[in-house]
Amino acid sequence: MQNDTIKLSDAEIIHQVVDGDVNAFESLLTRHKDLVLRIVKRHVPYNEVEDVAQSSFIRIFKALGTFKGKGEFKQWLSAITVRTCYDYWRKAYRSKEISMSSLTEKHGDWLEEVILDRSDSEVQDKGRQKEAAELLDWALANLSPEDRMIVELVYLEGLTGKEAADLLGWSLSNVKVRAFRSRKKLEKLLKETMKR
Amino acid sequence: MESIENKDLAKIFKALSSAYSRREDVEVGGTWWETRVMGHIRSLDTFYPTTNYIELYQQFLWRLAPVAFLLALTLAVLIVRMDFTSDYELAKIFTSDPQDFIVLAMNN
Repeated sequence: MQNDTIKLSDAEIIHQVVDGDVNAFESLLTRHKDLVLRIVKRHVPYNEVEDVAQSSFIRIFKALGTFKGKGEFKQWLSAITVRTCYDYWRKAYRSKEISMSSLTEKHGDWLEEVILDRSDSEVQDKGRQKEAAELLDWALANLSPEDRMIVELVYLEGLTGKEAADLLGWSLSNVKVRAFRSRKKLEKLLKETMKR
Repeated sequence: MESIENKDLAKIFKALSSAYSRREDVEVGGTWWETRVMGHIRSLDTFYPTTNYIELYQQFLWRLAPVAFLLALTLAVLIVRMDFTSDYELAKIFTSDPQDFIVLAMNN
């Protein structure tokens, strides 16, 4: 089945799926799974990645009929995936499934080393990478789902406010307000960590 | 060390960004995962996206037109109001902390 659709464009495959050929969706899945998985891996815990990516593809499939083909398919697909990740966090926070790891002095030391501008190799060695990842998870777990998404998209991925607004489907003003406030919250959390 | 200056914060964000990007190193999404996703999608037998909404709701269309108009108007007002609130908050942040806000706005 996939061999028939391998040379077709995304728009042509979408047309086939909307016309009732469910199997044609497999080509879209194979073609875009790396992009979807890459987005999901950044936003959700690794043990949830495959389930959230599956939910994203189901949403993409159900919404295919509404894709007008005006923008790029990848952009549309990315927006649905980011919103699925956001929904995952909203659900997790509602059911209080967020694991709050505790921090130790090591994490405070890591922060101080970063500020003191130690050589990259020293800060980036394996042990330090673990502390950085734990500190990041802890800080993000202390933010609301909205603030978490904004911090990840704007400050950690370096997207512009407009790009983040397009992905999340929020207004630019809303993204700017949240970006400002979430950064302040993160600053406060980091200061508290350094005082430990 | 009780306060973090902007340049220090930039260093911390850079280091955290690096930890964040390493999340991509996890290996997931093998062939069996694709099979599972397609299996789930094939089981959604009730689905068929129709692109022709007019065809679907033709008989109700004219009866629902005034209601739809009122609904659209209400939603439009709501959306304008929501954006207005965000703009208002943005202005409030600017007036309360102008220096910090300008620095952050320049970075984004």
